[in-house]
Amino acid sequence: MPEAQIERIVPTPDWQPAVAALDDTLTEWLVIEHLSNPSHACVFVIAPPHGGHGDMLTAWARHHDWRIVNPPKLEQILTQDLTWLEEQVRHPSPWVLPNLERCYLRHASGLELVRHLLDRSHTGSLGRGIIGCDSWAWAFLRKAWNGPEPPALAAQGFDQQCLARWFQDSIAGSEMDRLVFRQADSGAYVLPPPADMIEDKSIKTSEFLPILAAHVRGIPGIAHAIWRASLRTTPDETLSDTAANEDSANQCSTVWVTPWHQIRQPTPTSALLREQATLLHTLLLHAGLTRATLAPLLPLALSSAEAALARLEDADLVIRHENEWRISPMGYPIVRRFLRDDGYLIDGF
Amino acid sequence: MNDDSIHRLAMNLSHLGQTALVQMLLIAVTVWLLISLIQRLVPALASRLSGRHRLHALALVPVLRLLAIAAAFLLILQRIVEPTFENLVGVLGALGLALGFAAKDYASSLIAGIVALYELPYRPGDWIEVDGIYGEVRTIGMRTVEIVTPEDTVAHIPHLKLWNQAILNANDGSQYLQCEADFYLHPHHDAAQVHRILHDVALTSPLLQIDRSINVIVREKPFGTHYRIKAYPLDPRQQFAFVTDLTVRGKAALRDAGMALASVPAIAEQSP
Repeated sequence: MPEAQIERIVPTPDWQPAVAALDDTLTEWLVIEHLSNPSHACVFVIAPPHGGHGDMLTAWARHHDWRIVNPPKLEQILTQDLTWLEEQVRHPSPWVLPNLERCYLRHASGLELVRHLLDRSHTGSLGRGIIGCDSWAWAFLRKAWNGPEPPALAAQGFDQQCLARWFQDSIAGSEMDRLVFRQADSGAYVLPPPADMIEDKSIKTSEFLPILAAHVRGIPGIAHAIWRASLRTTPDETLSDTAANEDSANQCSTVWVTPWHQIRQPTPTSALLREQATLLHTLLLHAGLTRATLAPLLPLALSSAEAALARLEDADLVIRHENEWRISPMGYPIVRRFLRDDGYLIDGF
Repeated sequence: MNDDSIHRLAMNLSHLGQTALVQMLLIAVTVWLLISLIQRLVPALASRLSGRHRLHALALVPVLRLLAIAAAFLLILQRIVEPTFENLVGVLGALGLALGFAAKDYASSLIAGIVALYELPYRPGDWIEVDGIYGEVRTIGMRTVEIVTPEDTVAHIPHLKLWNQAILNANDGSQYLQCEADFYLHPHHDAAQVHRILHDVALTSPLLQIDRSINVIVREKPFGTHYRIKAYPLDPRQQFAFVTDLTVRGKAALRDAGMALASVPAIAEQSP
């Protein structure tokens, strides 16, 4: 399917509904002027990779006109330079730090700054703020910081119904009103058909969405990527002409969805995963790293790290995003499963 | 066992037909093939697994082999003698006598091998030290345990050692194997700061098994202060890479913090 058409059917996520949901959750906390417990001055929002916590909190901060705190520079982290933190204390206004995972490195010199930040957020000396953090970084920071469990929020995972509603609501343009999504091999409906067709008892429903929701562990960003990759303009040749053309009789346009078992997913060898497990884990703990930052965190030379990243990119396990290497949305479920089985620290999602 | 039963046993043996011999040969060959298959297939499958699943799969090999041999022994015995109590006692007694006199140590190793399957002093995947030889258990044979040393040398150690030698098992069937990295510092320094630095060195190692505890032990020595990090790698096979990583990054972190390492003058330099 052409990229422009995909973009109209599955556009980049709009974070406004998430902002509204966060508003609802924080209503009580926002109206209290004097918190009895100073450790409740900061609220943490934890989300898995591709869960969109950074974008969502940035949108929330702009909506409420709260100060957005940018993470410290890499040199500030490694030299344990606390001036970044002191600058934050000087401002009395409420703040949002969307990406706590950018404030530390898994390096012997990379933890001091984030420990100070977490200590101060616990004592309430930073004022009222919201801290967003990737779930893998949070799992590691809970081991590296000995403070008590702070108040934390997490978005509910997207199940089959949530995904169906999200995909339907995000379709842009009024011409999409009569768009139906059917599985390319069986003709079964992947998203619920228009209301006037629901009564038709002969309509078959696809198992695509429940499988997708379970596979992506409810993470919207990964579901979004797979959904985009699954759309196409023509059905399988095996589908009968009658089944393929029945939507034109109902004045609907059909978007065909590749059956789950035909979607091209990464299939790395276990040898590749085992060889590169520490690299993949390090990328997850930091929610992405540049090539130059990655090498000092691993017992690897820069050239070896480059070669490893190239192999992982060929296997569709990592992607480059603005000079940073990240675990790809399609590769994440496989990488997470492997790291869990191999005894690595994993997130709680 | 009286003269009559010995006579019956001898009669049985003398009446072994050609068919029975062929059957016995077929049983022996089939079991040999089966054992070969087990010894290749199970480790190959285990290598695709990770962590504790690999160790569990590897531990199946000697057990399956013992079962196959026991089954073959019983099937062959059935074809040699009528399986009555007297006949079995006769055959096993004769076998025991022969082994006891002719190959005492060999028999002792075989029996120790069976005991090893029950007591589990070592399993495939364990890191053991016997008689000063340290390495990973690769296979447990009928007579010997085969280990691979860190120098990639294969050592065959008779199970016989089990009777009177200490078997040191570093991970004892689990994937947790404690490693140590040592640092020696000049005595004039802030010990609490070094303790913190070395703890973080271990915590930030990408090879660390983070669910296990990290300990930093400090001891004062005549030439300086001895620090020892005790921590666990993710996989016992990574132990040397893990200790290397701790040592390299530990030295770098201590150097960055301005700590001076202890240096003991060479004896040759001290002598007049």
